Amino acid sequence: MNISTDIRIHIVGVGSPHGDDRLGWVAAGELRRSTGLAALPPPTLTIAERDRPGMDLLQGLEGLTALIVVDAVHAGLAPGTLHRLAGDEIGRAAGPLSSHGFGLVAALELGRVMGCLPPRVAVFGLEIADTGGEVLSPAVTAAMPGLVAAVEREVLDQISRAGADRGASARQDD
Amino acid sequence: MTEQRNIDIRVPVLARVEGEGALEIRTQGQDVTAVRLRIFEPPRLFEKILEGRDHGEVPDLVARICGICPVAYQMSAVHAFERLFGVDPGSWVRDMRRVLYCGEWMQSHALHIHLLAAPDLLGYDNAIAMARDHPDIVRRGLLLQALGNDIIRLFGARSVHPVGVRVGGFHHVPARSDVTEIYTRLSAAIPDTEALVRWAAALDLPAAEQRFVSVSLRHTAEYPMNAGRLASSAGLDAGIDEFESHFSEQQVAHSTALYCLLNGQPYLVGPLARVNLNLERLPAAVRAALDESGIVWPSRNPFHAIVARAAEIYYAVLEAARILKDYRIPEAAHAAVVPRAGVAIAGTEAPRGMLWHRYDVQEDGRVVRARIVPPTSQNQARIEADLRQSLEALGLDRSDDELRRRCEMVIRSYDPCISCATHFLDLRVERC
Repeated sequence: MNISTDIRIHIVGVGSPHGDDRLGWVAAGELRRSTGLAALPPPTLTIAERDRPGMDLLQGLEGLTALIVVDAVHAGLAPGTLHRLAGDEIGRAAGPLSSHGFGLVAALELGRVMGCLPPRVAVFGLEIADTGGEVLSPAVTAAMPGLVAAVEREVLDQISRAGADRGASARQDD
Repeated sequence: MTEQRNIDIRVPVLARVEGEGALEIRTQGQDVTAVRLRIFEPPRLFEKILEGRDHGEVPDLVARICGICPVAYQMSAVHAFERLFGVDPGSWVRDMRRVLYCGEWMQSHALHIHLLAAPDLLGYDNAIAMARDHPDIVRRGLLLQALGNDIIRLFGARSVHPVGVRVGGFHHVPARSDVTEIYTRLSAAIPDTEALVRWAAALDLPAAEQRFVSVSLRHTAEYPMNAGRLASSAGLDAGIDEFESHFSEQQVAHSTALYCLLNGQPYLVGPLARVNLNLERLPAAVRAALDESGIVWPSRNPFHAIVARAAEIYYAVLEAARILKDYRIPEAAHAAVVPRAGVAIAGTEAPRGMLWHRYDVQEDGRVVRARIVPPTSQNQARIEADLRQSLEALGLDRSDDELRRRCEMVIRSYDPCISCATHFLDLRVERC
């Protein structure tokens, strides 16, 4: 794969140690070990685990081609259900705002209105079960390979799109 | 005769405050007959959790009390134990704790100003709506907040519930290269923070002269953070060990939180109280910015808290840069600690005001009993007094919506950290 050297894709796995809420961290670890993404070392692809980043999520986004966030989702569906939000779907998911409740989606929406998000943003997640402890529930464990594969596809798709955008603009420049 | 209304207002969720609670207001004609701010405080639970724990576990445990001001809880705890154990952690630890506290003030104050309070003052429902029209203001706020968080991360490994603090000092010594990076960003932020004070002072803040007593620590030479005596605008000057002789917590039927009173009266803690009591401890640049604001300091208008908060961000940036300019690597990150039995007491200045800790400690260093008096429980009675005066000044003939908006704005201006929960105000106004 011939990749333009200025493509920058950043994956953030958001989570905490509690039960299924750790799925963002688990996914980040799996993606780091992914053979499908092994051809994309930093700085083309960077992966980070974060603990409820809130507004901190908006830092360090300069120069990114795409941001992919992986987090636990609670939308009332069956545990393990795969979610993907992109574009306007993200803003529509924003709830009321307080600093403690200033969640991922509100932070992204704030970033969007201030114009500090990269051109492409996608949020992936799995519907979680109400479990405690420091392990994933069976439903989320079973769904994890599907989530990881979906994020891998997203990364490769973002790279080919970015390449296509560059090709188009290069042709315009000619 | 004016028709009297019986009205019941409920606000199921008030955003932009820390925590959960409810407000009830009862009016009779033009008089506010009852104001009840009902809130829930988690530190009570923590006090029981701390019983039987080793003093060494306490800094990490109390950091969990608040996601916004964990450093404050750690600072009051380690200072309490060090005072009892006779530990002098030395000047490096002392300086770095001050930098760490600067980081927490910066992130907490920047968050409150830009995401919680400013939307009220500029007429927006929330920070996202405000950011559409004022992106540069919000961006500046978020940069300052991030810089504060990164300072906490420098010492605590992470910005939420940091783990770098221990009794006697720190667990690790930050690398010179990391400190240089922070110092460079601090230096670059100085003009931004000066501009922030001017911006805050130019906000259209409601005029509200009120009578209240300010309380904060006072230090012989410094703007107060980790040390000082208890001082009030009514002349109190007492050692931190004498807190319980002057301040008392009491239960009230309408709240699970304790109300803390000074000689039986409400009082104010936090940025406005600190600025009011420590003006001459601020460096000339911050003092000049406050003087240029056109506000007469000490201020009696509680809404000026946002200007005080901005001035403290300016101060924190200057102070952290001053200390880190000549950073040196110490021989050790902490001093040796040998526990002994007794009563460990300390108070430090959390972003929202004085945070007082007392631990009864047994010989092996385990906590027998803990008492934590957070700033918001101290401000609770003052917020109720303010609400009463604000509503009477505004006029009770205003619509319920207007009254509710003003109440929310008053409460938010105190930046109450109500319970580290997620939502807050359920307002009920009874008019008869």
